[in-house]
Amino acid sequence: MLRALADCNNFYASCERVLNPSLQGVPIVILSNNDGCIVARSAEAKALGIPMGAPFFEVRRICEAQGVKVFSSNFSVYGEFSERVMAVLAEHARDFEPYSIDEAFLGFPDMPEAEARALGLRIRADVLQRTGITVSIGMGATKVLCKLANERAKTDKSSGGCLVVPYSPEGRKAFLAGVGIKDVWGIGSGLATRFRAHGILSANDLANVDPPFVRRLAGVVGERLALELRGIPCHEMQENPEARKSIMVSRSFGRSITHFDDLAEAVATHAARGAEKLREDGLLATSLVVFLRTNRHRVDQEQYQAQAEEVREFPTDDARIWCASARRILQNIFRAGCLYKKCGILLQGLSSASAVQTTLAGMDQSPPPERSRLMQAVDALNARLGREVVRPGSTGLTRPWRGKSDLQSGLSLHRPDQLPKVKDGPKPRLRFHE
Amino acid sequence: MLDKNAIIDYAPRLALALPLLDSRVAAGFPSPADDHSERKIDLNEHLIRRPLSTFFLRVEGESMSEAGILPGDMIAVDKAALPRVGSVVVAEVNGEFTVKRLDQTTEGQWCLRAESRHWPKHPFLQGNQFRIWGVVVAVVRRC
Repeated sequence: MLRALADCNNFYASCERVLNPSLQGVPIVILSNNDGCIVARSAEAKALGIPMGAPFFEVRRICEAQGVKVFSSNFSVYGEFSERVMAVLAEHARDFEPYSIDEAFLGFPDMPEAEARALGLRIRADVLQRTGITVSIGMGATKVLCKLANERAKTDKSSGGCLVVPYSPEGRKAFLAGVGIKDVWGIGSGLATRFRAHGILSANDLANVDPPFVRRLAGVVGERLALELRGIPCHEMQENPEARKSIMVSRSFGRSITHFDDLAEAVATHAARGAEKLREDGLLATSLVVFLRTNRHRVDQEQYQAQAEEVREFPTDDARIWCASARRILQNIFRAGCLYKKCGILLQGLSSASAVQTTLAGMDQSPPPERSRLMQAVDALNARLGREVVRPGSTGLTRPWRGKSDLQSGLSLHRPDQLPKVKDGPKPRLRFHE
Repeated sequence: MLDKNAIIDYAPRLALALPLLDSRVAAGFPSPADDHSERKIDLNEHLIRRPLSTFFLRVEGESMSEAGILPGDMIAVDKAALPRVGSVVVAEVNGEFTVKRLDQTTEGQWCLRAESRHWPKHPFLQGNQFRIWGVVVAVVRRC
C-alpha cells in the first residue's frame, strides 16, 4: 500500500489569509488563548525569525516594527477550514486517517512512482482550488517515510509541494542520507545524542542498523522507527481512531485570580463546555476531576496545586449536573490566599450515549441515563444564535477572570453578521463619451 | 404559572426544510396525495452545488446593483467553479474583496466591469490588477 501525509502549510495563518486579501504577502502571527504565546506563523513571519511558542510580549516590538499582523486564535474559522480540507482529502484516498487539525494520512493502492507524484500534485491542486489552503504532500511506503518526505516537500521548493520517497533502493538511500538523525519523526534530542554516540548520524544509518541492536539502544519504539525507514510498515492506518477516554477543558487566566467566586465561575464554565463536548460526540461521563494551580513561574509567590474527583452512579451529559459537581469539588480543594493561574476539568468514564440506551432497552434495572431535552434545546439555541448564548448561570455574568482575545479578526463563516465583506473597490474615472 | 412541560417539550429542528407537500392525516386514512409526495425544498442543496468549496460573503457596495446584487446581500461564492466571460466573480483588488462582472476586452484580456447606474460601464481593472477568488453562484436576500 502507498501512503501519504498531507499537511496544511502554516494552517492558521493560511485560514486568516483566505478570508482577508489584505494579508497577501504580509507576515502574520496567531496568538494562543488569552493572547499569550505565538501558536502559528506565516512563512513571512518565520523568515523574520519570530519563534514558535514565544510569549507575545517578547516579540511585540519586532511585530510592530516589521508590520506583522497579529491575530487572536479564531478556532471556529480554523475548524471549518479543517473540515473542508479533510473532506477533500478523503475524497481522493482509499484509506483516510485524520491525524490533527491540519494533517491526515491517506492510503492508496500501489502505483508507479511517477503516478504517485502526479496523484499527489493533483490532490494538492484540488485542495488549493476548493479551499484556498495549500497542503504539502509526502508519499512513501510507511508513515515515517511519509513524514520525512512531507518535511522535505515543504522546504525543497523544487518538489512543487509533493515529494515521493524514491522507490529504488539507491534513491531511497540517498534521500534518507540527507535527513539528520534528530530530524527523524519521533526522535527527541536525548535519543538523537545516544544514536550519534554509536555513529548513527542520519536516517539512512538508522535504517541500516541491525534491528535487535536498535532495540537495545532505543526500545521497541526505536526498532519500529528503523523498520519503517526501511519501508516496512509498523504503524497501520487507523480508520476509526480509538474512542477518546476523557475530555479535558482548561485555560490559563489572563491574570492571576484569588477569589473563590471567580474560580467557581471558571470551573463551571469548563464543566459546561465539557458537557457540551460530551453531547457533541454522543457520549456520557461518570466522573469529573477539577484541578487548579498557581503560577509556576512566580517562585516568589506561594505555590499550590490540587485536584479532586467526584464519581457519579449514573452517566450523564447534563451541564447542570457537572457544573454543580465542579463547584462541590472546588469547595474541597480551594485554598484561600493563593494567586491562581490555571484551572480545568476532566470528564472521565466515557461511554456512548446510544450504547447505554441499548442495554436499557433490554433487562437492565438501572435508571435511564440523564439525557435531558433541556440540554438539546440549549444546544439547538446556541447552534443558531452563537456559542454560550444560553448557558448555566453558575458560569457567571461578567466573568472578569476570562482571558482576553483582543485581536480577533471578527470574521466567521457561521455567523451571518460576521461574514467577510465584499466592497465596491476602486471606482474608475468617467470617460468623456459616458 | 408556566406549564413546565410546555417549556421542555421542545424538539430541535436541525435542517432548514420547507414542506412542498405535507399530507399527514389523522387516524390512519391514507391520503391520495401520499404517492405523489416529494422531498421538501432544502435551500442549501438548491443554491449550493459544491458545499466544500462554497463560502458566504456579505456585500457592502452597490456597484453590481443592476445585476441584482445589493448592499447587505449575502452571496454564495464557489471557489472551485470555473470563471467564464459573463460570470459574476469575487476578486481580490487592492487587498479587498470586490464583486464584479468578468469580461474580456477586444484584445482578449480579462477585465472586470461594474453594473450600476452610478458606475461607468466601461471595463476597468484589467489582467494583473485583480485575482479571482471565486464565482458568485447565488444571492440570498430577505424581503
